[in-house]
Amino acid sequence: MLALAVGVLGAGGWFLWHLLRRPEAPRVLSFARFLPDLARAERPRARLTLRPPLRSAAFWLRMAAAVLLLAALGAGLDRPRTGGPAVGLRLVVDVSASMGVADGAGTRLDTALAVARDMLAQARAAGGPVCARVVAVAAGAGPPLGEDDLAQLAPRAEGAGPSVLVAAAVAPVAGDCPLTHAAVLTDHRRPPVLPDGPVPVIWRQVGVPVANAGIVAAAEGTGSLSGGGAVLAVEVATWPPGAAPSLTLTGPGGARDLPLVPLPDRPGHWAARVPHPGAGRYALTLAPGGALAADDRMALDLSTAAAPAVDWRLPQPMPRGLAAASGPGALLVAAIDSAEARAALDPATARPVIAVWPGWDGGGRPRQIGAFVEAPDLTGALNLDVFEAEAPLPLPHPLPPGFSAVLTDRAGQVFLARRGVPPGLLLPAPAPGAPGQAGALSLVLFYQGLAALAGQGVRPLTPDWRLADGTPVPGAGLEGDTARPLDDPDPVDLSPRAAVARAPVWPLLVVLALACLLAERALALWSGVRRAV
Amino acid sequence: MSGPDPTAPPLPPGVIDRLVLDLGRRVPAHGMGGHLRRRLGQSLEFRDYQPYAAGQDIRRVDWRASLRTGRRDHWVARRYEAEARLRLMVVVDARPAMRLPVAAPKLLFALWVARLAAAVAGGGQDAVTLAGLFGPGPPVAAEGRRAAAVAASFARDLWAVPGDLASPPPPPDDRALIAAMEPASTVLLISDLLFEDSGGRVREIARAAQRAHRQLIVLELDSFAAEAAGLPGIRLFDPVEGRGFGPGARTVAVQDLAAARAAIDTHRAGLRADWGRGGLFWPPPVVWPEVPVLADLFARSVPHLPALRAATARGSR
Repeated sequence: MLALAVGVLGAGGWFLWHLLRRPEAPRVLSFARFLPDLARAERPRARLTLRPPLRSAAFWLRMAAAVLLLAALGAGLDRPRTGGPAVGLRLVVDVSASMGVADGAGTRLDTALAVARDMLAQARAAGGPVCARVVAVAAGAGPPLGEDDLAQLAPRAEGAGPSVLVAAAVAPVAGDCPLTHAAVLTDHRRPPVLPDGPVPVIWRQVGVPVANAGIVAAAEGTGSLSGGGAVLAVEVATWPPGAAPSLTLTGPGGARDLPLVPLPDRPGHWAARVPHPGAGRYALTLAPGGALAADDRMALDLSTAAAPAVDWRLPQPMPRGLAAASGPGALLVAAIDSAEARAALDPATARPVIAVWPGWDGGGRPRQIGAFVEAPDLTGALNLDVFEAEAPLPLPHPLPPGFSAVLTDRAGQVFLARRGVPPGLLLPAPAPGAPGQAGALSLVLFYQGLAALAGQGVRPLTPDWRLADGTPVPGAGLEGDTARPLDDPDPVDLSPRAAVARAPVWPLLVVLALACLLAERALALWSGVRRAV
Repeated sequence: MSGPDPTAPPLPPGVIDRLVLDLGRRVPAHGMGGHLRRRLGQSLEFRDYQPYAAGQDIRRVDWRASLRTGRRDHWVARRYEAEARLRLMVVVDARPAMRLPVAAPKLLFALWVARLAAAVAGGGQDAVTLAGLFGPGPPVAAEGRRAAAVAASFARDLWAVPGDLASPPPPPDDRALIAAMEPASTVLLISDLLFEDSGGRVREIARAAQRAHRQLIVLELDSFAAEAAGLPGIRLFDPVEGRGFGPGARTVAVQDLAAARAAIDTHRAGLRADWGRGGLFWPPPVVWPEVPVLADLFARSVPHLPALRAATARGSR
């Protein structure tokens, strides 16, 4: 193969050489007799030579203008612009709720502002021009402010995570203050890794650790098939891990304390799980709430977390965890030959349905399983070896539109089929009295399918932290840990550096294009004058 | 013949109908035609009055003007411009070298002009004579509507005979051309003027075209720029009209081209001085650009062709 490749390359090279050395066709000139005697060429002219297609300067000027204008429209057209040594300091100040926590004589924000002023003084002491831009960050980053605006900063009823602070610190350079240094002043600990930005980031953590307790999350769960009712679950935490606070639920039924039990896998975290109090507007209150008040109260909008609504049409009794209902929204559980089931299986009148047929009446019979789909929620608890020995009768009808087989025998006859929207199942009816293991198999298969369609679910509630006066505090869950240990501060080196700025290139390209066009016009004018003369 | 006729002028429909001959006011004319001349004659174009003389057509008397003279024995007659028919003779240089440059042959351009002029002249009820200089066959003549068809046949025949490019062309048949010139009003010579007229036959033709109040219009075709484009360097040449450079490649320098250009200019200036006898009209040449597109060049040249003008713009050149 290598020899063949070398041979092909060699032949191609020789052919190219031949083309290059071969003189072109002879020229014929109508003015040949006016040409003087021409000297004999010392070497043959190459057939292919590099030569500009046109020798018109105006053409190339227009081409250059077009290329420059196209380049000006392109992407990524900025260039680094460096100036003389200076200090361009970006101060990213955390003004989230936790910065209002008392810290010595003032708050954490006061401490951060004092650090900021120290940095500015240090920068000015090094000499050279200094400019500073202050970016206040809470739930999001605000517009750049001047250093005179430092005194105007105040904690906000918002939560701020380290990611927002980092993003503000490494944001691209914009504005009239070329960036040389960036500093983040916050009560969050420095992330282990900071992304690359225009300049290195100085992370300065402020705030002496103080204890706090806060509500972390809340959720409501529907009832279960085993008879368990709907629940309300609340998680609270203490920083550092300590004694359990007191959690009170206030709502339509009055106020009551919720018992907290510690979560064994998460030190300092506690959970309350109580029967669902019913739909309505509630408030959770934690006491003592610790240093930060923003996470001590949470408003809850609870829905009617009733048991799953089921339209039960089977002779067997309905499980206790379900709520009898009717109508198109309720899950229909009925024999496949019933009128209701046929309507629910019809695509035109489809509704959630579990349609069963008497597959296990008279017991099971051996039948080899064919193709099946991995569906843990339907067949996870099924022993397929036992199923093969005690298989039910397959679906006695063709598969309705919208259903796909989950479990079939070797002949492709369906034991279990599912529909996505609206949810639907086709499976053998439960037969508790069937001989052998068929009765147990029927119950396992049926109730697993029922649980898949009408099983218990937990719905996390959107956290709505509030202050005592009702002011919402979005993101307060990010603020609760006020007991973080103080890291060693980053070394602060605010000596003047060459500023890093990005200047757009497109104006330069446009100017060059205009210059080309101007030169082309001037050339045309000059040529016209010369012709006229 | 199959395929389109290459000698048909590449002009949009209707352009020919909007053109008329414009041969100046001093060329002789004969018979009745479509052109008003500064001679008295029969037409509807009033010129002036004259005293009526016995024997004149009584219908020319302007009775109102006669009464205004106040003299009963002094009648005034109208005089009218004459309508004359012109004859245009188109002489096309048919040397094989006129087929150069290959991408935009001068001969094809010349044949387009000849056919256009013949069609315009025929449309105006004028007469046309077509002849080839150094070319095969005798001159052909036609009048009126037949002129276009005769010119097309003439052009196709001329284009179909390539000739020997390497050898010098045969001397022109000056006697036949001059003989055909007799009834002509204007001779339009279309050539690149790069031929050698050592025997002076072309000079005789040119001078004859200016005798007896005839007029010679020279339409010069200059393809030097197109043929010289990209020429500097090492080239092989085939002989043209007996001029060769020997076997092997030759080096063409910019100075060589400049010398050729100067020699051509001198040659043409010599012809101009040698031919001029008072009836010579020699407008600026049609110049081939470096990268010529012949149809575009022709379309741009039509408004500036001698002997033709737009029908709506009356006036002498």
